[in-house]
Amino acid sequence: MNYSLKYKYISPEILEICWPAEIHKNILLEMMAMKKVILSRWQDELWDITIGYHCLSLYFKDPYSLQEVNGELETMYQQDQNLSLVKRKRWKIPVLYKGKDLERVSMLTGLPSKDIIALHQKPSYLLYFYGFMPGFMYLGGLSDRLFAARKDKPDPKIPKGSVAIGGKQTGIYPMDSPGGWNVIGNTPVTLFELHQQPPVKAQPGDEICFQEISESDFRTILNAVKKNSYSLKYEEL
Amino acid sequence: MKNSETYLEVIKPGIYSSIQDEGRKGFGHWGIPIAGAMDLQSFQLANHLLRNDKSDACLEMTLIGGEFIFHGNTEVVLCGANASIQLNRKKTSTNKLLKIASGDRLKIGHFQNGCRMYLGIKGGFQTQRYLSSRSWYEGISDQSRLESGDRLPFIQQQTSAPKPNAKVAIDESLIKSQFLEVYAGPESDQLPKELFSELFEREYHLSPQLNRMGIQLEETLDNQLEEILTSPVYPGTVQLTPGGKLLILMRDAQVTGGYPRVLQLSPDSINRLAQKKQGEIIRFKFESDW
Repeated sequence: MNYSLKYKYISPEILEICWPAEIHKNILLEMMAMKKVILSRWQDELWDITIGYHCLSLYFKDPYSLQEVNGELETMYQQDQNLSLVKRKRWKIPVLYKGKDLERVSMLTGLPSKDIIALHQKPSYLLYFYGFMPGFMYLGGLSDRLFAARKDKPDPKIPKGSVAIGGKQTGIYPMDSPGGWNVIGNTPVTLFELHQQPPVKAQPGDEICFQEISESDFRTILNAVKKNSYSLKYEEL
Repeated sequence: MKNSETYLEVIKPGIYSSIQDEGRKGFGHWGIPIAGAMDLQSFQLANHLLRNDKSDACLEMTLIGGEFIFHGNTEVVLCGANASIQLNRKKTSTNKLLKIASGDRLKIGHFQNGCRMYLGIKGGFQTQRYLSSRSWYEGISDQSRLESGDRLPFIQQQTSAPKPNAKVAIDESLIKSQFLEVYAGPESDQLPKELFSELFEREYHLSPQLNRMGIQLEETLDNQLEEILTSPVYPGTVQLTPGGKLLILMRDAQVTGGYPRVLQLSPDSINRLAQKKQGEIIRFKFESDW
């Protein structure tokens, strides 16, 4: 593969593998490929592998030796050329664009609501990783014309399903939470379902796109979600 | 909570009590925090004294105990912080096995030393598991803190001859030490040398911003670091916030963060810190990494 990696000792059970500090699709895809290779060899030795934008973190069940694992990891990295083996999907999230902060975003961006809605639906967003709270997706690809500063005073409760813009990012609140992001819409679908296996559908490396729906679509989908008869639509990439 | 004939009835829940085990490991990639007992050492001691599995669920209490009635026979032990403890109005203490008969009443006061106490019970509390762990965490478990009237199920034990109930002697010097051993954090190399050594030269006070997610320290440093690309964080990660405050993440920490990670507490130090209260003093001691 293509980068020079750094191996960082965090604690006796945690090791980080760091790519250069950039937000880049190639880095994400390499991390996902590397994660797969590591899990195929060390699944039983590890509790978990988590990621950020450029660091892959290994959580060992027992203390590890940096000297021993470094060499093995570097060999895995050099030998693995199978980036294309990471299967990816594009998920379609239905959104009713009637968020309570649409006007604020309009003011901050200087764009009318209809342009905000169109620009927000245009890209396929790349899912980098889950963080901040259970099921919260870090998405890359928001148009710079939609950048909108977070609120100085966070809202005490942003409801589950809120689609929002916070600074240079867009995201969906998987559960009720305090937060300072600007809510532009709501999705009737559930993105984190504890009792489902797995509780989330999309995997890092997948793409997410938003599709505008009407209020009656919203009610129809919400009813189907409640009856457990709605499944999120996707296409293979 | 499932119905059970055998349960602990909560009369007074304390100020922040919750069911905890070793935590929910293996779900960080979905954004799910590990949670689990703040002071894993005291938690494990409780299970060890009861000859339980090491991950059996205990009740974790914070600063104040509570009042409880047992509906069923069992054995319990209290580990961690010290407090005045009464079993049926008779004074008793931590770190020793207590034989419990149905109807017994346990009363635990304000903690004198330490911040967290564990009520371990034979076989562990049988509350619901969520993603393979019984640890309570808001958004994952149906309940995140104990309330009066709650019933915590446990497994009825056969009454048998009481075992000798000698108190286990615990070496408290390590627990009470101000020093927390730390490793260099991944962004520590971005700190100017003087600022990095300064981290180890001063004392820090625990601020009132202190909970299961993290502990902010009072002192302010001259922060010259920018925020980082969002990266994994862990219990024990010491972040340097834009305002120059140090924030030590604890068991309920989020799985990623954007503040520079300047230090990482050793596993033992996380337990030690979990027993410290607002206003107490800590110092960092550098551990060579490997």
